[in-house]
Parts: sequence; C-alpha cells; structure tokens
Amino acid sequence: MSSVVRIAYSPFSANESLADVIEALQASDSGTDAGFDDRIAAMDLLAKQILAPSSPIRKKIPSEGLAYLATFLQQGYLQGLIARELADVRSLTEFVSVEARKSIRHVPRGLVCHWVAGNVPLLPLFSWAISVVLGNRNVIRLSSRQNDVVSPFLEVLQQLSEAGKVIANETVVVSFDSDNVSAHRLMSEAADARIAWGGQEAVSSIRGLPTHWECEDIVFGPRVSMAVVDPAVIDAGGIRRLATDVVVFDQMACSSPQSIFVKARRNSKEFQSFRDRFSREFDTLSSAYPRHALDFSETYQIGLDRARVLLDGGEISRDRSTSWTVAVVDRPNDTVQCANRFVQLIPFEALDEVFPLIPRNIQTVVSLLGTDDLAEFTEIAAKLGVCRFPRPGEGNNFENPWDGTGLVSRLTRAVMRTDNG
Amino acid sequence: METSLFLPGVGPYSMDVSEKARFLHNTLDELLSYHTERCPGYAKLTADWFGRRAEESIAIADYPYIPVSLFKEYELRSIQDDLAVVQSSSTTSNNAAKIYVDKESRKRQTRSANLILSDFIGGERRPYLVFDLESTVRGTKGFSARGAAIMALAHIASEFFFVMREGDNGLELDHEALAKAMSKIDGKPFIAYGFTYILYQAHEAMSGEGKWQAHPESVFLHSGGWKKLIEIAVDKPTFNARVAEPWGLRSERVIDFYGMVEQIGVVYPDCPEGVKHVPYWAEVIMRRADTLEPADPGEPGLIQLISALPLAAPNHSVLSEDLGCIVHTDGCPCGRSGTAFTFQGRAPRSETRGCSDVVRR
Repeated sequence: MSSVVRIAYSPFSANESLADVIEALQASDSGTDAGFDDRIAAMDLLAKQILAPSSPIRKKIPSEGLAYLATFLQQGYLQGLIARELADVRSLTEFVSVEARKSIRHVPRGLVCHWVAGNVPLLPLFSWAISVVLGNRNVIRLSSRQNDVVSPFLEVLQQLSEAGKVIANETVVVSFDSDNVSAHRLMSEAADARIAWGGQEAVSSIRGLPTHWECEDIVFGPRVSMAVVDPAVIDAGGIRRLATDVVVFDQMACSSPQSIFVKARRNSKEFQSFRDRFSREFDTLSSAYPRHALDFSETYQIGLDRARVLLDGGEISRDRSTSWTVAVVDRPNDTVQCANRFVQLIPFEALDEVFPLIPRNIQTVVSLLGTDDLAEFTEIAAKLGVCRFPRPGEGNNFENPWDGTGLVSRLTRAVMRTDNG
Repeated sequence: METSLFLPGVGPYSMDVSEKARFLHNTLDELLSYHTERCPGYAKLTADWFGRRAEESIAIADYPYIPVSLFKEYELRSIQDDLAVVQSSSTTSNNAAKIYVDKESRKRQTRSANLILSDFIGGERRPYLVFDLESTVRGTKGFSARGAAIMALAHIASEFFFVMREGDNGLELDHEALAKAMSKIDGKPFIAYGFTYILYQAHEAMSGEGKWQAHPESVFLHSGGWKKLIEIAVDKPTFNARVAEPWGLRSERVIDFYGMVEQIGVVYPDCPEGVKHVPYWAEVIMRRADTLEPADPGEPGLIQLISALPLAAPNHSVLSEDLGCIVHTDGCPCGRSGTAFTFQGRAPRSETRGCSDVVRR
C-alpha cells in the first residue's frame, strides 16, 4: 500500500498536494459563474459528445453503460430527475413562492466529496452530474485499482461551453489507496456532503472519518436486487432486457438481479418455457458482453455454487465453461453467491410466497407483472424495503432518488424567505 | 472394484503419461459408477455431468470433480456403516471438512503412502519422532487432519516417540520426552514428522540448547500451511536450515510434502529438484482462472487432485482452493515419470465487490 495521492484531474497546478487542491477548490468562486440552466445545457452538450462516433470519450471509456450515461445527461432527462424532488426547479435559480408570502430557494451545499466503488466503471459520473448541475464543487476519489473514467469526460466538457468549463473547473479527481487514512481525512474534513459508494467495510470506514457536524452523508451501501416476472406478461423482448439487467456489470452493481421470481409452477410448461428462453438469451448476451476475467477465487466459487444448487435439489442450466449459470431452486439458496452471471429462478404461484423472501438489504426489484399483481406487489414490497421497481431493461439505470434517498434535497440547502405582503 | 490398484513390480512413478492415462481411465470409470450408485449426493452431481457429457471418448480432465468445500457442508458418503471420519484442521474457517474412510480405503491409503515414501526415503522401518501429541492420533472413530498425516507415515515406524505436550499457550516442546527419545534412538537413522508450523515452533524452542547429532540418513518430513510462517517472514530455505541445523543434518533432509485431508494416502514430497510427483494411481490437473479449463504446463491453476484410493466417499476427484503449476510431464532429472508440479499456496480471496452485496440479509 502506498501513501501517494495521484491528482488525476484538477483545474489547479499539477504539482499541488491534495490539501492545496481542496483548499483552492473551496476558495474558488464557484456556483455563481453558471446557473442551473447553463449547467443543464452543458450536460446536454456532453451527452451529444458521448454519442458522437468521433468522440474521444468513446475511445477511452468502456462502452458498458455509456449509452445510458448519455441518456442520463440529456437535458430533459436530467432535469426530470431533479424535478422529482422539487415543487419548482426555478428554486435552483431564484426564490420561488411556495405559499402566501413564503418563498424557497435551493442553494448548493458546497463541497461534495465522492468515494466511489470500482464495481461499475461509470458510477462516479451519475452522482457527480447531479451534484454539479446543482452548483456544488466536487472531489471524486477513485480507488488506486480503478481506471480513471472521469477525467476524459471533464477534458471534453471544458471545451464545450463556458458553463462546461466552469463545471470542469469545479471538479477534482484523485486516486489513492484505501488505507491512506490521511488522504481520506483531508477529504472528509473538508466535505459539506459525503457520498460513499461501496461494501459494508468501505462505507463504514468512510462514515467513521471525522467531519464537521453539519456535513450531509449519503451512503449507497451494500444492497442486493431481484426480479419478479409473470411469464404470461413478459414477451421475448422483455426476457432479453431482463437477461441484460443480469449480464451487464457482471452482477456487481447493487441493482443487478441475483434471483428472478417467476409466477408459475416449477413443472409447468410456462415455467420451463421461461427458463429455456431466458437461458438462451443469457447465453447470447454473455457472449455479446465480455465479462471481466475471473480470478481463481471467483472461478472456484462458480463451480462450488453450481454443485451446491444440485446437492440441494435444484437444477442447472449452464454453458460448458463458467460464463453463465441459471439455477432453478424452490427458494433462494443463500449460500450461493449470485455473481458473475449466476442467477437463481424461483417459481411461485402467489405473491404472498415472495414477500417473506425479500431480503432486508434489498434495493431493486425489476418487475413485470399484470396490473393488479404489480399494484399489490409494489405496495407491500415497498414497505419491506424495496427502493425501486423498474421494468426489465431499466434495472441498472441510475436514477434519482436512489436507494430511497433523494439527492437534490441532500446536495442543496433549502433557504426560506418571508416575502413582502 | 475390478481394477487392481497397485500393480506388482510397478513403481509409483514408473508409468509414462500415456500409459498412466489408460490405467486411470479404467479406474475412474469404475469409481464414477461405484460412487454414483452408492452416494445419492454424488449421483445428483453426476446426473448433471452425464447430461452434458459428449458422446466421444473423454480425457482424464473431463471426469467430474467436487469442489472440496462441499465436504464441509454436506455429508457425502458411499458406504453407510463402519466408517471412520477424518476432519480437516480448519485453521482458517469455522467449518471442518468431514471425509469418511472405510477399512478398505484405509488399507489402500497405507499401501499408497508406503509406496510413495519408500520411493523417497526407503522402505525400512525406523524410529518415528512425532512433533505432536499422542492424543492427536488416539480414537477409533475419527482423526484430525494432523492425526491423519501422522498416521500416513506409521507404516514405516518401528517405534513412536511423541515429543510435544500441552502447555499454557498451546503445544510446546517436551524437552524431557525428546531427550528420552533420542537416547532410545541411539544414533540410528530416524524419521520425524510435524505440521509445518508446529515443527518450526518446536525448533524455535530448541534454540540455545545443545545439538542432537542425528544419523545423516534421518529425515524430517512436514506438511501443512505456510501462512503463519509467511507472516513472520520465514521462507522455505530459512525453515529448512532452521530445522536441520540442530541435528547436524543437511537441509535437503527436511522435506515438505503436500497433501490434503480430502485425499489421505497420496502425499506429494518434494523431489531433489524441488518438484512434486504424482504416482500412477493419482493425477493432478491445474485449472485456469475464469474458465476452469485445464492449464498448460508452466501456467498456474487451481489444483485438482485425483486419487484412485477412496471408496467410502466420492473424494476421488476434488478441486481444491490451492494454486499450483505443472512443471513438466515425464521429464524430471530425478528420474520419476508422470506429472510434476509445484504448490504455490492458497488462492487469494477475491476483492470486495463494491456496492453490490453477496449476502442476502
């Protein structure tokens, strides 16, 4: 482990230390040079650049998730995600009346520090994009094991418009080892908001860092996801999109389904047909989307988990190698690590069978059910902890709120004013 | 079982690779049927394997294998009665593997270990200095992995001397017992065995004492993990010198052997070239990361161990979490034929996965 801090992107002198860079960022007169509309427009330009065939970004960044990021950054989409939390988005620009003689204004929280997990390469861009359009300055810490996927976007952004330049100048990207406590402390003590992505150990250690008392903490901690589908409702395209939700990011995203509940009896034609069609799509997509090279431990785990399923009375569909596994089980096998394209199919006949099997650390349930079932399922499952019910194909689409937390309210300060009568 | 396992007049390392493959094909076919018929759990695994098996003839590497961790979680046995159980030492986890052994398998294990060790250190019986407690090998129904490893050498022992005792902080050298043993051994060649870390601790406790003069044909064997030694920066040359020195032995007389509790009876001592050889009734295959395909010589892989010995449980072909590397086949300057490999330690645990969780809480 090393105490080196690499400043991957900074508007300040390349030779400055992390402390100097943070101090300069805090002192910079940001949040005033570009308003909300300018910032949203700059993101829209960036989205167009991402999609341009000649874009330098496309040469530097893995394609997985890039198309969705471009969608996310489009003016209408991003503005829509922000508007979900605000009665009137104009409050990001000026005081707006909320009731008689009362107005509200949302101002940037200040310095937002992001600790990013390495499981989903483009992850930092999502929380950063929302933070910067709200006018915050940002420090993004990448793990020293991660490739820098942020700087290429900033290099393009600063050339697109004045607002793009302002946003890029409000962003610093650094990388350092996880045990570099002094670097973590520097970030934490300077932060007005801390965003921590990661597993239990990572988010706990970030929360344990000293910070000032009014610092806002947004923790995207370790969660699991699943899907619930009705074979009578889902068509071939839906099955393909569901398989895509499992395949992309190798199930390392908290939103990746690890198990799929299928509304059919295990030995019914409907269930067998769903299993076969899903397996075929899973196979095709596993070839189409290259997986990261598994290490020995991950590889062993797949062999072990396949055997566990069989010994526990389940069935397996799989390729000849370790690329994908579809396990049919009567209830989720909790000893099995559903990772690296290993998914469990669980048949059920009534929704009541599913509710007790929803884990406490649930995040997403990709859902495609009949209208009445969907209404009943989402009403009860939401109270059991589910944060999202996207349709197949939308499972890994980052959105706001996320993990049940609205980012806008946490990354701004709401200021009240009593107006003249 | 039809195939005669130990062939008269055939040394453990005298078959070349192709001759051995023919022999193992027959043996593995028989073991596959035998355990499938008798062990319901194994039958579930092989049903899946048979369902995917191509019609064409298969290579040794194509036969099914069991990840060793399953022996910690499931009772896998092919014989129901009159079984002993061997438990792994489980130094790094709470679960211990349970491997069932019947009388016939135990006979095979003894014969196998005898043939292998005779090839390395000669077959004559010698006094046996055990750096462990006598209680480790007591009991009729089960052994720890340490006990099983000690007993793997029992057939070449003319007399046992246990030279450790239970102290306030765990095992410690019993100086008095050692002195008595050495007096009785009286300069004759002996064999000694200890788990690697225990043997090291015992020799640490001997530092500062007068030397014992061992007969130059005496040999120290040891097996087990290196994790604790690596933590205190003790490598193999240091270990060998540390153990050999108090006895006036050359460090070559300290021999590391690899073996797993899941496959007792087949031990893999280092030859003078520093590699491990596989007898004709066993095979070692390295499996690649990412695909589990067999790795080429020189390429590291997860170690799959095949042994024709086990009859009480389907532990005849297991995939370990250890890493190794095939060095060559049929080409060792020491003269032994067959697969030669090195052991490279336990596969490192995967990094944490980020915001996704593997545990459904």
